[in-house]
Amino acid sequence: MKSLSIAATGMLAQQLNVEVISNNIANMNTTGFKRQRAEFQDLLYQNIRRIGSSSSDAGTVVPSGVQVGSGVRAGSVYRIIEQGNLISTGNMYDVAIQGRGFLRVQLPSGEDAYTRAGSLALSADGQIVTSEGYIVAPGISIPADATEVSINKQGEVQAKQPGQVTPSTVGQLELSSFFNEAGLDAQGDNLFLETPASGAAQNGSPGSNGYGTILQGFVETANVNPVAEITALISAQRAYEMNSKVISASDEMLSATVNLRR
Amino acid sequence: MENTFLISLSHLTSLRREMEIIANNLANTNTDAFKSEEPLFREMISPTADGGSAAPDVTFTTDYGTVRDMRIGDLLRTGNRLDVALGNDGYFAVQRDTGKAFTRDGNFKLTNTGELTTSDGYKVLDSVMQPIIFPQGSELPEIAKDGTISVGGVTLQRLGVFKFENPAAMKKGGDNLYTTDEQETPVPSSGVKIIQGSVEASNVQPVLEITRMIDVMRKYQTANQMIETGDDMVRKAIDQLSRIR
Repeated sequence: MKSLSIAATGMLAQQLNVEVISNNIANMNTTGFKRQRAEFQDLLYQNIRRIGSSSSDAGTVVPSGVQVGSGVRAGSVYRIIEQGNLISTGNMYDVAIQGRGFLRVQLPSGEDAYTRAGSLALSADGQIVTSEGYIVAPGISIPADATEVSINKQGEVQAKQPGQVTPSTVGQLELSSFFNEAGLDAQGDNLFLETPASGAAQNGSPGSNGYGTILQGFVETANVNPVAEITALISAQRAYEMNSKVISASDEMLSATVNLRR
Repeated sequence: MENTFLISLSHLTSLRREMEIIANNLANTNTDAFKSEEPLFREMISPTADGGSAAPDVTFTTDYGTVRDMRIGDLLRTGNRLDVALGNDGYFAVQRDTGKAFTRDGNFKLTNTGELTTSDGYKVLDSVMQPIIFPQGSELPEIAKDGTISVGGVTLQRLGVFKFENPAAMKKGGDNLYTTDEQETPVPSSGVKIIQGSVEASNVQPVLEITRMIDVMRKYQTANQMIETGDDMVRKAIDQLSRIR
């Protein structure tokens, strides 16, 4: 019975759907997290009576043939790049990106990674680093005696030192943007890597055309909407159950056939 | 006597087909822009072997087509700027290596060169069947109700939406795509209603499908019962005939 395997693909698809939803819910409070969505596609169709095949010598054609599908598969699980809310933390090294772009981070391996989680901090030698201690590009050192650090919208980092009236600029944060942000490879730890699908990173300064601006003292929350996720979870669970009902119904039909000859 | 078995067999075969279609509908309850289908059955009349005008014809059942429910599915907000839903009928055109295909699934993506594609990487075409390309370093697009794509206030191309004279002749090709024969020519749709940030949900109605599933299951059992009864009759006939000698 083909309906058994069709329902099985449906159950597998809904299982994946629940996995994606649960990951969204689990990351509801993850800084800079972008929610994901599973997109499904129908599988190939079996043409039992081909549409458009001739039904007589007179040239009449079958207007709608018999096409039986073979189930469903996951088309893609894509990330929805929607701005999250900004939440005030009061921490002077926290930055939120309003608009497009990622902070570039130097991994210990020397590779570049990209993040929107702007909970930054200072390292022992005064450099601006992520919460894992990775240096934020292009590498900004804050003088040890700085009393106040301000980061403006354009990403300019200014430090005020004792005895100075005007703060001095100590560095400039950079943002990287991608043609296809959904094509970035998520690494966990809020980090993303460039892929052939995402395109090469375009570096620019915050506030310039095509880049977002920086907001100091804020972080970007996850863009997960709990109500939407729970609704999606209910629908996924019910869809899973319905597919299991198809399996039991097909099973009953089969057993009716098997029991024909007692 | 065999006719009982054969008619029941034709019934069982069509019920199995119907079950497969229901299973496929239910498997696709969360597939974007999926259209549910239903099989069509008809009588197939066959004269009996012993002939004679008095003898009634035997009718079998056979499936001769599937109808697609073309009602528009619910709009599902995703918030993704590259997701578009069609608020009325029509299809987006995509370019595959084997030719053009059509889809209502508006889960579009950008490639690393700025081309608009489906999630399988097929190029999405504009109103004059050309690929849609975004300039380097551009912001996410605004897609107007009529499909006009603009980036940062600059109007680019218009998303192509096409209609067909006979939508029933469109074949489902899997991957949420539809294909057509050469005879069917796509006509640019007028009065397009495009909704950005949403996708069209599947139009499968689970309650309906489950009800139909139960119905099919019971009918299948009845048809089996019919074969069993016929079998009993044959067995009894053999039994009794062999006793009278």
